Amino acid sequence: MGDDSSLVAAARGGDRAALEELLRRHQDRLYAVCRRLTGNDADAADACQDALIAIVGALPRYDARAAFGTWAYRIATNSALDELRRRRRRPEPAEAVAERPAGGGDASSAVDARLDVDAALVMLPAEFRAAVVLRDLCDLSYDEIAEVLEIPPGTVRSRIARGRAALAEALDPGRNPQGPPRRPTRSK
Amino acid sequence: MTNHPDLEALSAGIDGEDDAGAVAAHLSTCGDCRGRLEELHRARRAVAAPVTPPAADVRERMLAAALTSAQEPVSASAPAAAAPAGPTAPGPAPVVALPERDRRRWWAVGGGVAAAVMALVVGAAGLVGRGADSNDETALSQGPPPAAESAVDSAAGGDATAGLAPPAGPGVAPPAGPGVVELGDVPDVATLRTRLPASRTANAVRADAQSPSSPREIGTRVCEEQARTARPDVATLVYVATARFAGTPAVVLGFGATPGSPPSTVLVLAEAGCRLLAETVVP
Repeated sequence: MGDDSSLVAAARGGDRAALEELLRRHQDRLYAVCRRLTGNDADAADACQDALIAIVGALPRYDARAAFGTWAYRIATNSALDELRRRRRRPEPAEAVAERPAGGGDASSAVDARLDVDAALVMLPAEFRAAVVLRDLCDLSYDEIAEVLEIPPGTVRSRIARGRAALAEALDPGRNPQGPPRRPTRSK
Repeated sequence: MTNHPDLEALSAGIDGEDDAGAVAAHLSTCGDCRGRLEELHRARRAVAAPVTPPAADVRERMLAAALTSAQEPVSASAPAAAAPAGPTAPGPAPVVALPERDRRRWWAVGGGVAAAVMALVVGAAGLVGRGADSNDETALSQGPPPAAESAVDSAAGGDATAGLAPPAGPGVAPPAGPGVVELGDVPDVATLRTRLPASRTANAVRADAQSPSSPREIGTRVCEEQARTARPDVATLVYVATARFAGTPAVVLGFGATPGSPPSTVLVLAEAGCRLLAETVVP
């Protein structure tokens, strides 16, 4: 039971118990990122497992420039985005479709137009979703997010702001903090 | 009411990334901007809400797969591209060695099912190689997938276990046979739904489509053919299993929107004659 850096060192030295402890310590947080980014449990489980495997494989090359947790978030984010690309999910989570009453779900009604956070996030372009999730779920700074996503801090700032505004609109249509409803574009 | 802070300034103020002094002064006098700020806070709180962690068994299987990968040869378990966790820009972003992904899917499908299988009583071997096979193959490769996805597809058709040590982790079933899962006794639809895998199942079908050799596979294909005839609305076959449904030997076919997607419609057909016994929509 050491800190991350001592567990990393031990794991790199072949200590499997340390490796397991390290993975267990971060697993739920990584899963949470994958869950928010993919929008459903199955893809999140796949992405998280991919991330854990990738972390194990890449650990010998982890250079500790970033905190292990941030580095792991980076891998998980890429796993989740990779999973999204691979699955080419439709822009609505399967759960939302399945839970909609057959024939009775009029999306134009005020009640049905309110989306839960998963459905709302799925509507965002993935790069906006990633920035918002890394900030609001993972509590990374703009600089850390810039490093994880390999984009300039100014772009992080823009994506978070526009992503939040689009989310707010999706979560509660008609109360839009940035004016007319619109989906953020990928221009930045 | 001029000089309203822009959206980015409001948002960055939430995060303490900007000097909030000027914004705060404005907010004290501008109800509109306070309203916009509250909406941004609402979005932030929604995303920050705790995520339900995976079920204990899912968590343990993820860990087992990762720890097992640590035992494998470096060439198989440490893809160089995974280390720096490349950019998120569109394009291939390799994260995991393909053999591992492939084996994982086998594990997800197999779920510890023994390699021994029961043979279906069918005599329609001539139906093997029907159109749906080619449809599956076409569907698996259609569209403009990233390079990594293409590699996954091709790997699935090759030696999926090349370079891997024998599976050692709990719940890891070796890909010893075709990807048709045996679910055992399933008394009703509710139970069936609990038996369906929580994760990807497409490789079962992919492997099944590529090696239609056993009587069991042939039986599932006969029923799939009949199911498609009876239910032309079903899309892509993504999951195949056999079970004893309410005492009747049965074939379980899951259909999803696209190859690789979870089954959304699941049909249960009697093994003998392929009569529809039940169907359910999976959330």
